[in-house]
Amino acid sequence: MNLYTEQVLKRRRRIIAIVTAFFIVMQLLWVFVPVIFAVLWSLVDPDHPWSYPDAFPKSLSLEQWKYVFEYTNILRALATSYTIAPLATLLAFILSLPTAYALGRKKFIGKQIVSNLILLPIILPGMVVALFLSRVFSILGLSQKFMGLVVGHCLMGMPFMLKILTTSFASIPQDIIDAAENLGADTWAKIRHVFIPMVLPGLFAGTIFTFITSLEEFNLTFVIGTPSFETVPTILYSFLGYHFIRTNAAVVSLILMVPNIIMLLIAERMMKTDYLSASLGKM
Amino acid sequence: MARLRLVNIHKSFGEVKVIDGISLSVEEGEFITLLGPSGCGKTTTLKIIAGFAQPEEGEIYFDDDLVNSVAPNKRSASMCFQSYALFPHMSVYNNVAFGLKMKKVPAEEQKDRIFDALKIVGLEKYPDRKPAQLSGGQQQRVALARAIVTRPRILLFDEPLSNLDAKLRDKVRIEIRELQQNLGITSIYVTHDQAEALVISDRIVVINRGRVEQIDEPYRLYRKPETSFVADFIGAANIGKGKVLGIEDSFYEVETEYGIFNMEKEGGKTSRSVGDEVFFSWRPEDVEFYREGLSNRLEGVIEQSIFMGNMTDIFVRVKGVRVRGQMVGRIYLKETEAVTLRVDESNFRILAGEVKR
Amino acid sequence: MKSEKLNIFLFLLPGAGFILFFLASAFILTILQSLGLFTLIGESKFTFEHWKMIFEQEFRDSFLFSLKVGIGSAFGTLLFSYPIALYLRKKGFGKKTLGSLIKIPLFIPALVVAFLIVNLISYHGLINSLLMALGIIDEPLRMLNDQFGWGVLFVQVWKNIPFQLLIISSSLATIRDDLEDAALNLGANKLQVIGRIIIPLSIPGILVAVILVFIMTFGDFAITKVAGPVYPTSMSVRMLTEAMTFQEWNRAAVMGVVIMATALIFVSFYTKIAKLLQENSK
Repeated sequence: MNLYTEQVLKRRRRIIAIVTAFFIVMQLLWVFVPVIFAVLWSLVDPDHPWSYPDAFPKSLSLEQWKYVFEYTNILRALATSYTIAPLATLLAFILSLPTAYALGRKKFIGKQIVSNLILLPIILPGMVVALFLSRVFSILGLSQKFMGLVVGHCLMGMPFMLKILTTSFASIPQDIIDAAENLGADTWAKIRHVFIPMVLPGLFAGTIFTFITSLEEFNLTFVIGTPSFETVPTILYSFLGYHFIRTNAAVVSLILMVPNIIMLLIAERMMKTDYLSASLGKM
Repeated sequence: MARLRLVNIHKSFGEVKVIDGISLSVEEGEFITLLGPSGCGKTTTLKIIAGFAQPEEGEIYFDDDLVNSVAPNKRSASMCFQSYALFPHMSVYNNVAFGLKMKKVPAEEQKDRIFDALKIVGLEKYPDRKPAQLSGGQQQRVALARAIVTRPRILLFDEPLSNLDAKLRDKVRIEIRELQQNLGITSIYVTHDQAEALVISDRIVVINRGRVEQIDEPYRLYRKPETSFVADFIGAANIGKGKVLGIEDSFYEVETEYGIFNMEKEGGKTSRSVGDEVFFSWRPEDVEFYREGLSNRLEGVIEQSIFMGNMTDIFVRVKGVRVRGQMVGRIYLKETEAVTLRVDESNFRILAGEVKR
Repeated sequence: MKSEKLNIFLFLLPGAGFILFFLASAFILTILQSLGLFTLIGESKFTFEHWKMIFEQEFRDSFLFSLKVGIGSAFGTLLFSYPIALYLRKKGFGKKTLGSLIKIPLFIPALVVAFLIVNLISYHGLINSLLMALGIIDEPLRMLNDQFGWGVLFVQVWKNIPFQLLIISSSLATIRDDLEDAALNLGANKLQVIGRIIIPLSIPGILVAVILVFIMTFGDFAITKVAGPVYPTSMSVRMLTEAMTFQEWNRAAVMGVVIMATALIFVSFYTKIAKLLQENSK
């Protein structure tokens, strides 16, 4: 006979707590050890190279950071990245708004097909799309152009913007809209007092996701932007791919990664709904 | 089939005390309903019987076996869930078979027993359907078949009819009652619907704030409520307080805010003495027109009279107090009209509990 | 009614139209170029000539490598993500912290993930040093740019665990608790509940998670380029070499079509399964 008393339950709860604590420690190692090593590599002192079998660098310095900022194109790449991202996000928002409204609030034949279609940019293999978009872009005269990068980044980020905005529109109860109308609200008043406040959190989430997607975008930028334009990811790639310079790669990795994590953490803090699962989990 | 006994059960969720000392004993083959408002602890009590929740204190006995330490999958107390909880990926047949498979019943015997159970609930024609292809009422029956097929010692029902529409609900509850009587399985039924409880039960346990208010047969519970909670929760009641003026053989003489009334003695939990302050109740349908020579007169003015179809609801102001009465059929009483009514002493109920000053 | 239809069309145009225009034109161009048409440089003529490359040894090696890495990553990730999802299903002490810790790799760009892991698994990296210090191995293991692709698998699993976890968790969340209670009530033990109720009901979610990770790793460029072997290369790496280095756009287009087709076959599986999932949760 199975024992099922309060003491057994308590003991079981304690075991679960211990297992969870163990998992948390494992997970900390699993996630943070790679990150800590990247930080260490970015702080290696060039006069005392870190080499096998030293467990840790002999001395730390900011020389690598200075080097990257002085002798590579990182500053220009940062400027490019952070100009493209807001423009691509803005464009994605303008284009997404009407479509998301229709997908969220209207009934029509073929809705499921359209809902699947808008996800294709993130589902389809990125490099194939990038490579052949580059041909389309060169026909349209967008290749090696700043505008081309904005359009391309917008395309890659739009699924997030569209999906999240659609979910926000769809989650407004019809009752509330009817109630507003019933109380005498005209179209403008409905937009101002119902739609905007209820879609705002979703818009915020969509903006952050699109922005980050643009900052991270590599395939398309690599194919249609180089050599005219460099962004942070293509610089990182050049350090990883062509000639692997570990210290430089470490610095650029951190430059690319840290703002993203901070933005996403802020986003998660500020929003109650788990938009990440809303946009990914229920694709 | 078994007797069930709960002894002094206590259960809290964090700071909140959900069950505060419930004791209860159910006879073999009896149909008992746990009735109370939502959050009163009735569903938690059921979960404790099923083993999904553990009490901090108290004992649970099936016959004479203490089952506190028996895991829920070994308890043999089958449950019908509020949501039916049918396995959506299994056919009707496999849903009903599940419990038998878990008990490792031989395959040939399984088939007979499953079809017997499906026949009892009238679903022997749909063994291959998936739950999603059935109506709510049919799903409810599958849940019932799945619960009885394992021949449990006790059958548990957690508001099984709350997802059905009103007409179907009336029908299915009678079916459940008949089925239970035919099989003779000890049953515990949880509901917040007092009408349902009155129809279906051998006895009703009224629970409020984690405590038992009263355990009684449906008729007695309705006619002889012991506490103001029971009087108010089951049916409608006029509840008031008064002071005992005198004690006769069969009744108390009580002074109330709207007059002096004789109130029957029988059944009052504690005997009262002169000067005691008491709560009392009477049912709206117990008012009648005053006839000369009788006691317990109510003189007042009609405030509102609402025709309800089979009866008329009247609200009467008696010496500043608004009381409610009901009379069969259409009663022609206009608002502001003066009336003289009475309530018989046998219809007054002196309730348990002291009046706090 | 007609104007309502027109309205909806106009509403859909900017967002869905934008995506459709660029994807469709890229898609059509790929197919045309794989058939020798629309070659931007040099002559264009309809031919199946370029498709002969799929019989070449190098093509087959790349295809099989990508397939292996794709399937390996998808199921390798599942090996971790499903048990974790099961474990995190019920609330408990510290599980919220654990849940958000696990999510972190999702926020790290693919190239950065590649770098982070490469750092650990390189010849003189942490893992080799640790294993040698513990005396488990005498000589460093070659995990990076190895022939089999362990390096790529390692990076992909690290990156995709949280992604699969999200999908599977949301699929597990649709399974109502009372089904579990009902199974217990009917005599099932914890293992039987998982085996007979939870796993069957989460299969659609599992498949979606597996298929999406497969598609992403099958068509991956950057991670394979950084952590994968010099030969065979992945399909995408090979495709880019054909296009950029050799200017063989028609051959690149053939590879593009094969990658797309493989992905689309799996996407169509996915949409079917998504439909099943919806029907089941009713």
